[in-house]
Amino acid sequence: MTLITFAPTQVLAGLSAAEGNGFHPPTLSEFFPGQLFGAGTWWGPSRINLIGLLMAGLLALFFVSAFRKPGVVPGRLQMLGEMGVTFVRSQIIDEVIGKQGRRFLPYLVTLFFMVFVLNIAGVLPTLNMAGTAVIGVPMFLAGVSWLVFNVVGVQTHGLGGYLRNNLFPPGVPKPLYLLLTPIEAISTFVLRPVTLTIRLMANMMAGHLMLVLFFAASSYLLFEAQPALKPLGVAAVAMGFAFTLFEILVAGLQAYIFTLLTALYIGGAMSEAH
Amino acid sequence: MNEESDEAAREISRGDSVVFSVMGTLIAGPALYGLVGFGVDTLAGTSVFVPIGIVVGFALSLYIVYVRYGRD
Repeated sequence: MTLITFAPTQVLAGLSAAEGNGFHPPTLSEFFPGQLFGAGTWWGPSRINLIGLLMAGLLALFFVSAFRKPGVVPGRLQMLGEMGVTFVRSQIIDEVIGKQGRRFLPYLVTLFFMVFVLNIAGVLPTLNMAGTAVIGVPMFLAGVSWLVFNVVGVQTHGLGGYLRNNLFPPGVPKPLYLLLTPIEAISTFVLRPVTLTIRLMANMMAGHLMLVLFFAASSYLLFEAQPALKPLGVAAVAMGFAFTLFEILVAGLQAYIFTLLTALYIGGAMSEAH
Repeated sequence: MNEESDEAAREISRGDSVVFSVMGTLIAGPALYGLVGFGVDTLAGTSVFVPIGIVVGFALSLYIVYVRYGRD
């Protein structure tokens, strides 16, 4: 039922973008809207920043209300909150790190729901933009995850031990270390946060571009093109619906993957039993 | 019995972590040595060192994967 309200919003957005003269496909300028106020300053927010702030505020509001007065018999909000926390704890932490990973539950729950809520803003009516579709938020979250797994590794093994575990694979003739250690250094310390960032951002950016394309195409085909193309417009709307469902799936999946990989890196840094 | 199935599940997920580490290594090797080859090419004016660097990097990555995960 709510999906029926999504499409008209997207179509209307496509209409205003099209302006009645030719088809305007989405471009990368989608992701660089102007600052809404404080133009020219470093803090002036764009539409995307405000969406991120709004979704983060809603998320905080939800969790604070859910756990404000916890009872042994939970109310509905508390039960929802508990389901969320239990999902991360049993499906991600216990599976990947084990019981000693429980101390990372606050960070991983926050990470999962932050990414999920920002991603889902990409399909919400009137927002239509994922907070994670621009590189700042994924980069920051990946940076924090990088800090966490490195600090955990150094705490568990000491700086020398941690570096030795990661940079020097055992059982290799000594001169080869000169060639192998740079590869290991890059793959552990550079590639992990980079792939976390790019995976999340690219998925959300591509999904947004596809959604705008489908709905701009449907508004153009339905309202401005030759009448013979109208059935194509209907097909474009149907594809838009289907892709919206797919984007909801991708939003959850990308949140899960980001959190799972962070947990894997943390678990790997803690154990290192190579 | 619960502990055993927990351990088994963790073994499988550590298999996941192996996949991502292997993937990271296999990307990092050719990328790094391709870049080194590119630097050599720019300095020497040739154009042959980029592919040589990529192949050498890939071979080294395969060696790392074998050393870390192949020998048990």
